[in-house]
Amino acid sequence: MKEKTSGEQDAGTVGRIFNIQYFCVHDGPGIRTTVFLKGCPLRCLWCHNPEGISREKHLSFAAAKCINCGACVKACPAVHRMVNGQHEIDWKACTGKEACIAACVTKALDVVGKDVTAEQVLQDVMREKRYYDKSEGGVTISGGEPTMQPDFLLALLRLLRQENVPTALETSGFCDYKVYERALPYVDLFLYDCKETDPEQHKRLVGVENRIIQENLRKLHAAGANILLRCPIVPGLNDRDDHFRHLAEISKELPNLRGVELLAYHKLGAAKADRMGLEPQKEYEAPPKEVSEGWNQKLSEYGANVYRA
Amino acid sequence: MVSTISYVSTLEKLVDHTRELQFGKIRKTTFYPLVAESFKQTTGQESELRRALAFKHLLEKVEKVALPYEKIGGSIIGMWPEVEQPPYEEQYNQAKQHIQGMVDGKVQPQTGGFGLFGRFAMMARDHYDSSCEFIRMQTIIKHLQNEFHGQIKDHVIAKALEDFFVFKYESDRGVGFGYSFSGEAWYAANHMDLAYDKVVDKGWGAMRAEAAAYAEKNPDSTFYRSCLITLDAVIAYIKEYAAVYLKSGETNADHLRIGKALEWVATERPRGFFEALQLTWITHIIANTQLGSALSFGRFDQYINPFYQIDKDSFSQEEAVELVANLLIKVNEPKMRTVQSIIIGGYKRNGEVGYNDVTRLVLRASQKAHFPYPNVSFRVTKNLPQDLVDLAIDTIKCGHGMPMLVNDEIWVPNFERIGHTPEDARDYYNMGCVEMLINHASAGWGMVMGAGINYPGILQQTMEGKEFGSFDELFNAYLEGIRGAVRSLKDKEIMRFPGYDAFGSILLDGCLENGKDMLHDGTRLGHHIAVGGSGLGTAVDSLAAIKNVVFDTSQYSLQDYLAIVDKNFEGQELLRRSVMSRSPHYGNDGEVDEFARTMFNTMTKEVYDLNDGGRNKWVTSYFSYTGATSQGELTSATPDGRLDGEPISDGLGPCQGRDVSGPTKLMASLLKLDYRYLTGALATNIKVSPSLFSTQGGTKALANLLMTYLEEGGPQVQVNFVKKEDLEDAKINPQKHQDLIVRVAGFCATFIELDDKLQNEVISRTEHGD
Repeated sequence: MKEKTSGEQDAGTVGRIFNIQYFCVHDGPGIRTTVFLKGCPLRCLWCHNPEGISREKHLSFAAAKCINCGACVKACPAVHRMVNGQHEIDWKACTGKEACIAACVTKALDVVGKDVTAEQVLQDVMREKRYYDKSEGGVTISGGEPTMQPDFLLALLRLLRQENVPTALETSGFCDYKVYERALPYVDLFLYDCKETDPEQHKRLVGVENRIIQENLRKLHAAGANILLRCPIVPGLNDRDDHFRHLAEISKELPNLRGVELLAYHKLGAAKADRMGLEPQKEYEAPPKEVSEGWNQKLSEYGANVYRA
Repeated sequence: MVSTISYVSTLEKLVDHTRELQFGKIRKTTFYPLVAESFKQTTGQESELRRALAFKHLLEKVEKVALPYEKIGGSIIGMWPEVEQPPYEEQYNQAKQHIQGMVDGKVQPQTGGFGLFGRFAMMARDHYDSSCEFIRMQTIIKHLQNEFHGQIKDHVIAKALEDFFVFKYESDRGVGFGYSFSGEAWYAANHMDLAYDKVVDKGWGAMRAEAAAYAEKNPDSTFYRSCLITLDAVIAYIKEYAAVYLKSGETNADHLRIGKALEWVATERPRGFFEALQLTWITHIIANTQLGSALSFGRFDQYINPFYQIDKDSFSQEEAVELVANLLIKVNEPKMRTVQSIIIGGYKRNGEVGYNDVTRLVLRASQKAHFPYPNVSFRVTKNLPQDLVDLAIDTIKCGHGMPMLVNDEIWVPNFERIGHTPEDARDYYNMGCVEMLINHASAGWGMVMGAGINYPGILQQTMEGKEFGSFDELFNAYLEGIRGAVRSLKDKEIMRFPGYDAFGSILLDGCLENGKDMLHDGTRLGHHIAVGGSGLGTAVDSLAAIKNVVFDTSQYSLQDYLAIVDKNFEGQELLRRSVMSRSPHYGNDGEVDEFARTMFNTMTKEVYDLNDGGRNKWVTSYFSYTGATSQGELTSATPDGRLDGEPISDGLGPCQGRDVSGPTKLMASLLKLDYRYLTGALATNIKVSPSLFSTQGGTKALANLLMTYLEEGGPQVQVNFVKKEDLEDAKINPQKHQDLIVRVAGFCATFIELDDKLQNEVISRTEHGD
């Protein structure tokens, strides 16, 4: 039997995604398509994409679409039941058989997570090529944490390079550097998160150590990667002066960074978590424009190269 | 030369005052009494002459008012004095009695005028003869719909009341298209552009001389006599209006400038920018005074620019913009019947591109105007200069839906394809909303009764009482039904409008040369006869549903399923919801787009084939004004799960709220259609959240989105904003906002299907513009 070429292997590599979003305008230059890969090692308190956390497929439920018809109860009485005519879910009892999803007439129930080959994703995103070409846009790979599926990520990046589609990788920085080393030749822009600069706070807010993230950032920078540092700012958590000063120091230390972009907290993540039976997220105050603009000014005063979308 | 005055902006005050006028008291026209008075005096004379004399009488007697804050003068509101509005209680009780009469079968609903087409005043502006303020009428309608719920259909109540609350006039005015006085028809050029370019280029005096020369050579021609009466009336009217402004100009410098300009342009060619604008506007007022409606300014930048070049140094950019903005704002004065348009850019007749300083002035003025009318259309050629792309996007950013972008690279070849010369093809404009015509060369669109391809209706007929062996068999029968419906139009008679209009004839190519009125085949070109396609998206989704339920999953036989649809899905809500969520929908770059492509291409090609090289051209139109709603009210349930009375899909668009994959995917669906035979009209709406503009990147992305769409062959596009108020209202009245699509970090969704918490978050993000 003839051996598969690396291109064929890439095409057939299977990964798990939870969405492909078109006409994205805030995740890298131009008009982009963003592919969201499932699974994330971080546990950010404010997670804005909670459907990306688990590596497993799981159920989601959009209450507003539910008409309380009871079809899911018949399909899977272990998980679904009617209480006073209202549909309720025992999330923990779900074993992922998806019978309820097949039964649901309004698609209020859905599965989060889909296994696809890199080739399938490529074909999908290539349908938007005319917009990338016109706008100098491309494809952003996000998550979850996309480096958690290194083979799939690499396969997808290589296929996109073959088609001359510019790529961006949105990453938390929390992974084995070897993955970045392999990805580097195929990534045109790293959208690299820097969520917290204080090691103690980092552990508390994000759930993992800061050290690897900071090391990887410097290694990537030294290797010549094109990096935009992206920093979610959550009022009451990391809108601290020392954090802004640290960010400015990083900006000065790494002169080839494209810049430091502050991303103001929003509550969509909290609202979405409800749909998946996750522990309710604590809600923070979404900052008014003047406040977030103030952060930018401060960062700029401390000498950072501030990036504004 | 024009005396220059020191410039002080009155723009904001003009906007406020115009808005005050719009929401002022009810107005009652003096048009009917004045015209009736004239016809009484001219009994026994030739009809054509009587019409011209009535025009003269009207222009002489109509009140000419000067308004505060205006920098360009002339208004029709003098013809519409304010009257006292009857008390609410009284109106309400009358209305209630009227509806009770209908419920009891004692009163028949009116079927004249637009009766056949459903509601009229949904046009979101007040009914021409309305005796009740628009907003008040909506309140009365709502109350009575509640009171008579279940006894009579909601839209019948609305329609009946709109017909009922009209002023009754003493003259024997007829209704419908054209009016009649003592047996004489009144019809005035409407839904077209008139040759304002010719007026500014020559001046009224030279135009009178031209007509006089024809009249001298043809002493027996009633047409030329009528033209001379008309031209004299026009000149006298402008002079009289000049006097009004000179008088008020004693205390108002702007009015003084208007008065002096009017005095000059009553007969002479404008000497610069200001006079050219003033002449254009006063000519427009005359056309509206004689009841022309939906009149277009035509290719405004092309004919104003030569005058701007004469003395542009005497105007600051700000003043020049304000002067143009005056025209755009004044279109919104009461009773202007505001569905008017202005078109800029595109190729000139000789094939050069026609972008100029005034193109830019109009876009900038449109940013300042803050009114929904006139429709500003921007003809875009390939390689549009970057500064114009940016300016267009800046204008779109204001959120008025303007300008709409029209693709010259599609329309020009399409007009050539149906037999127009390259020069004429390059010289197109949109009248009213989006209906394309050749610049002041024909007497407007021709009408053929029943010239519409109602896609859901033909589908229903195709399937009635039949079973099909396969989906393909059904689809082919359907395509044959579409072809048959188009072919049946071939021998139908084109509606002729009665009467004469010398004013319109003077301003349309060919009538003076041919010595014939515009309503008697005087114009250089014939009509465009529009065949309108409606409900394409509803029909595509219906086919997808039937394919799913009847052929792919064999849940029902076709007739059994249609029986359920016929009963408005009564007792079958689960089935209906399941059909809607499990069948694919047009507008998401999916496989069902293929149905749309085939149906559209079949229809447009068939209409194209009706053309036999004759004077009139058959054209295709995909634009429904407010028809998606009003036609929807008259359309029973459809197989896609749409209930009785709900809106049908609009234009070429998908079903409301079913394009959930974002604008690039919607455009991908639309780009699959073959637009070579699209020759009449098209409205494509893209809805975006204003938050897109919060960053430069987002603004640029929208520009690239639109430009890509046009470069790939999209014929037309306009951008609407998702507004915070709409989102808030959608929480209370979800059924009214099925088409609201929003982006929720990571996915697009139909707003009304979002959970409360997500809805609130989307609203707050829209508000903050991030």
